[in-house]
Amino acid sequence: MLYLVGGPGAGKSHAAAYVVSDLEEQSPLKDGLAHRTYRYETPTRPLTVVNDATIGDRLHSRGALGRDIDTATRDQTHFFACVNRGILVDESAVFPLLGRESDGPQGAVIDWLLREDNLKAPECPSGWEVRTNETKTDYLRSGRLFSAGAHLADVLVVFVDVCSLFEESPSATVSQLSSVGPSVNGESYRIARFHRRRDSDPRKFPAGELVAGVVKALQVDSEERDPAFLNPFQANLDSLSSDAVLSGFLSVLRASEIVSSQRMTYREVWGALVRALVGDLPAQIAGADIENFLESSQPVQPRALARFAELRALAAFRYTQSIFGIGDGTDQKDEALQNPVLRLTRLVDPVRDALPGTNSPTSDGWATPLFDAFASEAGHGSPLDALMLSLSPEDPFRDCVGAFDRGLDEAFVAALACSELKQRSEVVIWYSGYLMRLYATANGIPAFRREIEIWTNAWALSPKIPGTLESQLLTLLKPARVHGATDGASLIPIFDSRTSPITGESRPILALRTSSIEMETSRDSESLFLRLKESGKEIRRVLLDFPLVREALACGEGYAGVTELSDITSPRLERFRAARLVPGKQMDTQRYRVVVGLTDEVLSVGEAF
Amino acid sequence: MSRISMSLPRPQYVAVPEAFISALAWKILHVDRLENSTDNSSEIPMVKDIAGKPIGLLFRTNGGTSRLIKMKQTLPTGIRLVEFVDALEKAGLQIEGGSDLLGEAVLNSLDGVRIEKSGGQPASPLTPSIALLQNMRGALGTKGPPDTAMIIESLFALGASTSPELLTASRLWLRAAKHRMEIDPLLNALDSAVDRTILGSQRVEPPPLPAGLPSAESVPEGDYSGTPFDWFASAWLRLTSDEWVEALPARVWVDWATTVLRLATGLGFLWECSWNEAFARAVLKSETVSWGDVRSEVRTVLPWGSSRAGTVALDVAPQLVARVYRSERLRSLIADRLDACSAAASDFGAVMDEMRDDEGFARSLTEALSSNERVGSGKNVWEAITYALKTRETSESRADYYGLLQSNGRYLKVDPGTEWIAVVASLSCVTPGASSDVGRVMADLEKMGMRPNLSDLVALLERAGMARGSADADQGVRVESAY
Repeated sequence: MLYLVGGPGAGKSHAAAYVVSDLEEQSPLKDGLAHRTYRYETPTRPLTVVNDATIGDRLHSRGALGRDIDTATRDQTHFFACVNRGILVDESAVFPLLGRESDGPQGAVIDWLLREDNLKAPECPSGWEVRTNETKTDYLRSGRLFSAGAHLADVLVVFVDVCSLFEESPSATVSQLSSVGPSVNGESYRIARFHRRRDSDPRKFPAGELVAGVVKALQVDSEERDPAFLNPFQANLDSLSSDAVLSGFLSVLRASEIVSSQRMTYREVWGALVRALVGDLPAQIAGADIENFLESSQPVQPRALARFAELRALAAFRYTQSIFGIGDGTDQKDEALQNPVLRLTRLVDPVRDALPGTNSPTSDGWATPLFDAFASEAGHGSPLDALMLSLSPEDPFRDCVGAFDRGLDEAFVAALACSELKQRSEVVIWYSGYLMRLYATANGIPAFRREIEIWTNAWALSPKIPGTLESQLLTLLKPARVHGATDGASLIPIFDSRTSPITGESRPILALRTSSIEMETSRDSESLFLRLKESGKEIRRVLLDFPLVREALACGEGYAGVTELSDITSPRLERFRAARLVPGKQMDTQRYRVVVGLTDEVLSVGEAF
Repeated sequence: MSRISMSLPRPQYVAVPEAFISALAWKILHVDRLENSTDNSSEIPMVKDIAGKPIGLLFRTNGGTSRLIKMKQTLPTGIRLVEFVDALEKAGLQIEGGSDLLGEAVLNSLDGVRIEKSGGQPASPLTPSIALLQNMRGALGTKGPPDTAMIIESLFALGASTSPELLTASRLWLRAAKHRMEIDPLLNALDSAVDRTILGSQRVEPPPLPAGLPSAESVPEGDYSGTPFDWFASAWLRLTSDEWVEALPARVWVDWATTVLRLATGLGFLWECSWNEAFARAVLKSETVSWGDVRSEVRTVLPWGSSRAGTVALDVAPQLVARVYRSERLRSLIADRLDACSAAASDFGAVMDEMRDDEGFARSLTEALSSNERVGSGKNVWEAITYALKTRETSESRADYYGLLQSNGRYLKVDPGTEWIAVVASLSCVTPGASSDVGRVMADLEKMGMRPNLSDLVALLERAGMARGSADADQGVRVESAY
């Protein structure tokens, strides 16, 4: 039995089609509709394929998958199903594990598919059991189905939404049948450290392979082009044909996944790709009209400012603008909330986090060359030339820039020369944003690059924590009692509604003195958890995601910091601190204190007289 | 038992969240018998003074007397403070330094949320005695406050299929509070000191129920399953069980319990409003309906729109205010007609037939259903509901993370605080430390009368740090209990 479990758009049907491509269908129904189950002939036994478990069967809408599993087991056919997790939850309500005796294997199988890795299944009274094999990973699990001790089938489940499409796919091998059955070995899933993405081959990522392939297929021979024709779509294709630029683009998309703690499926990758190539044009015109659109959009205005405005409209289709939903500068906030791709990518718009510095291994910043380009005279007024002069020969920005960008730059210089001050600043603001995004995206620099870098490092180093992050997390969790003292004891009020540690002067109040915390991390596919221990006892597990990293990095020298994400992180921190106040196991009554002013005294709770 | 009138006592707004638990304490510990006592020789704060004015008790207050009530502070000062500290020491608390420091520190630790209007402050009801340090009159500042405890008992009784007179909800609270003191010696010491010195050991425990207290598993499925009353009964039974008391810190447990009581009040009365309307419409219909049919007409009690809609679209105030006022008119019309009915109240079909045949009654129902007037007792009910469900606005640094509704000028929208979702989702995981899935949380929210967008709910859970992984798993997203 093979199961592909995951959300829509993950490519399950695609994989299913590949599996059956060489097989002959038994009694095919040629009505052009998608059906629920299909049967195929194979050299060994028939194969039942459930392509889309969301299509119910004709008689009942609930429990259809369970019945299919039961039928397949009884008929002893191979079984292959593509399932949504939501369907599994529904099915488990219909076929609970602890069901009746006469139930078939479906209860045990569905429970095994839903079960979290480290939990042991309770005994199933009907005698069906799936025993997990030794080697398993986050995305792959194999087992064997037993009925009252007899081995009936081998089961394999692939969770297709666990690994990011922007990381290297781990490879898995199935070695052929031994006496026990096929053995499956999968590599562990790895997340690359963010700064190392720059040097990696984009084709190694599933999304990269897709984008590179599409771009190559669409690419037009350069001799056939008219140099005076300003075509942003062609410019996009040209930029993305360069491996370095493609790598930068994928890095930015990966960053949006990390910041939002979500993963893109193939559906979103296609959406991002379309958006990168043609912006939101598909919503405005039909595909066949694109030539006419380009023709009619070519700038015709003689006056420089108006010509620049026309070009700005075209520049909205440049991939570095459209991928962040910028458009030509008008407010597009509503669309950004609705569009599944923009919802993620606008979080990492480089303009939000343009740190000064040069893009080198020793510095966090990257935007200084851009500031300089607009200020300097080196390019004779052209920021683009000035920028190109200051960059190294290998900078991906050179591959990214094309005829369109040069045309836009010329128009900018002309517009600036003859515009008044009020219009000038608006023009400069827009164009500087444009160049900033062009540069940053070409180099794979998202917003919050530092935090993302630290998060990927923490993931890679797990269970250890990178030094910089560790001390700042400690400050966040336990701000010092006295400012500046980094290793002071921390005092939390026992009965207060908030558990923020007491800092500075305080009125008399009862508090708990907490001792030092040990921290380590653990991984679960893409999630990273911070495990907190006090005096050897584990207190809590806190999700260490982007908001928490960002909050931690705002702390320093014993002061806790605050960011725009505090609303998200403070409840979690509250719960961590409150965990120490749970009576009995967690709370050490030796640590009661009475706090007054800047000092505290021991409070002991003994027997009553 | 089919009920046409739900027999819920009329509520008023409860401005102070601590008052909910205090009300239960006053009811179950039989301290309200002091209302009629005229013994004023003792110095224990009594609830009626010499001039006969009712006394409002509050932990911290500036005192003062209005025309109707006299405010008395229960916080010990002067010689009472010395006695209090002495009692603390006898209960086993010792510090190195001066003992008056101990007294002050303990009293500061008991502070609840400040009342903006009067500047008074209740005590956080961490133990039975501390819960008695304010009474409803003191907390609300009115002479005749509503019997909040009976309202809560009535709401619980509907969901648990018991009767309000058994005071089950209060007993469950008392059991939980006592268990808390068993596992927390510090609170035990505080409780006995407060009882001895401030209250004069006046509390009287109730005799146990012959059948014992129900547990979550033993409650039968009643007529009101799938309603906010059902949710309240299961949530309260779970929260007051030993395992949840042990899993939560003292103050957090009090905050969670208060949240559950607030929700029960707000959503319970909203359900009653929808019920009155559904019943009235059923009377006006020509075909016969059963009680169950009418009940199933009541579904979404609080509209929870998608987060992507604008402020005006999400505003629930206009719709709900109209509904509440209408409901109050209908309720009194129906109650009057029921009194005049010749058929037995328990015979739903016969009563319906009688009402249907009464043309005058039908006319008045029609008129009430289409009216938009804001007169009558609707104001009190509306205020009770909004105060129960709204996020408190306080000027202090402690924000109210437990509210469900947010007011924004004159708009009122569903915007739960982060800890609100933690309470609801954790309780739907049944036991502490367990995990569940979004499907079950949705099912519980539906019982409460709300149907949020699935992605909104998942986003809320993620923000609270309770949802695991955002794999596009629809209802299958895992939810972990917050404690």
